[in-house]
Amino acid sequence: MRKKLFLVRHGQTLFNQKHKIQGWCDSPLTAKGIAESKAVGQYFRNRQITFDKACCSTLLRTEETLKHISDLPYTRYEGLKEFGFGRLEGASTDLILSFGHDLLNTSYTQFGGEDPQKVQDRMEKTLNDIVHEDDAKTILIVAHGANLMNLLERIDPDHAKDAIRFINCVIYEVDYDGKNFTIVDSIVSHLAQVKE
Amino acid sequence: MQKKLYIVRHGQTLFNKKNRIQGWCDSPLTKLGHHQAQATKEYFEKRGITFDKACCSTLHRTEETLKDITDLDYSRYDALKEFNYGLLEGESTDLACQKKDDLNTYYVQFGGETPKQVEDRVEKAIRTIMEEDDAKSILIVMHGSNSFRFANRVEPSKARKMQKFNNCIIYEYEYEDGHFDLKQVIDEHVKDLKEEEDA
Repeated sequence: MRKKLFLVRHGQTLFNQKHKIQGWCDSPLTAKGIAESKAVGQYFRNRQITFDKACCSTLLRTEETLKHISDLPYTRYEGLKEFGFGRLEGASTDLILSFGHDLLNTSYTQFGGEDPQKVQDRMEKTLNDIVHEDDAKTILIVAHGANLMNLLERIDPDHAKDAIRFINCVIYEVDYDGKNFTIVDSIVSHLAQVKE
Repeated sequence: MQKKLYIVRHGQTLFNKKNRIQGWCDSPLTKLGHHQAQATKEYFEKRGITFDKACCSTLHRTEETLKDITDLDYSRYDALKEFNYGLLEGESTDLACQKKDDLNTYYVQFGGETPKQVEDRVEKAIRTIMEEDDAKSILIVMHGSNSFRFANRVEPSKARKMQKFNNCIIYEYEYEDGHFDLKQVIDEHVKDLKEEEDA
């Protein structure tokens, strides 16, 4: 069965604003994050895009974002949690930028964090569970910056490099033909009018 | 109907270990945090204490702790979230309020909550939990500050006398006709658990 997926990164959080590494730790959405989330909801409504089901991670920032996008009941997935950065969590994002933003090859295991391979495995498995567990045709998934980046690299490496946008509330539109996932677009136009 | 209420503070988290202020922000349980939660499960099992329902906050650390304690289905409540410390979230605990007398105004200046706001929302949520069904033995996993605030609201003199700070301490209450009776604050199951190196 063909399916349409919309993968959304959560809105800006306090730790995003404060440039702290978040990962498996978490912080509330800021006012800007709430406005970004609402702009995502508006984007879908303007295009009459409705969802058959909605999914988020077990981290509250994705659940908060989802609730601003849609009134649909939703399911939380442990497998959609952000990349675990271990003891780096809560520290300055400078510590990640010093690795040249290379979230795919840097070893976070030295800090007790996750291996990118492992993140890609669990994300891919969770995505497959989500598309196969029922007949939902249009699916909203609210997840995270680094784990969506890793997921896209895994499921559609040809298009991932150009598609990846490391900003809050980016929307990745993905087609599923019953076998393969294809990135159709990465959408940021709805964020233009969101104020700081 | 007389009921029993057990309020448990979550296990040690990464931010507890790193001495970071953790209210509405969140971090995963450490190994020690999981050991503490496991010890809490054993404390209840040894005494034959079982639960008719289980509740936690929407912050993941309470959910992780709850799942280590019981296999029961559970409900998550926004209103059981920790004290909101505003912009101080994630900062060093050196920046936490140092004087009890300043508590009413300290966190507000950073966009956080007052103790009264926390006590109001937590009390309201717990009263609903106690009255909404026939569950006789209830487990709530929540937070250090807000479980002290709740005790301070319903049993102020005992709350101060019995005050303990460890992760996974248990507040044991009897409840009848809208009255909460704080029996004890238990830390015997966790007070000797030690930090290990988290690999």
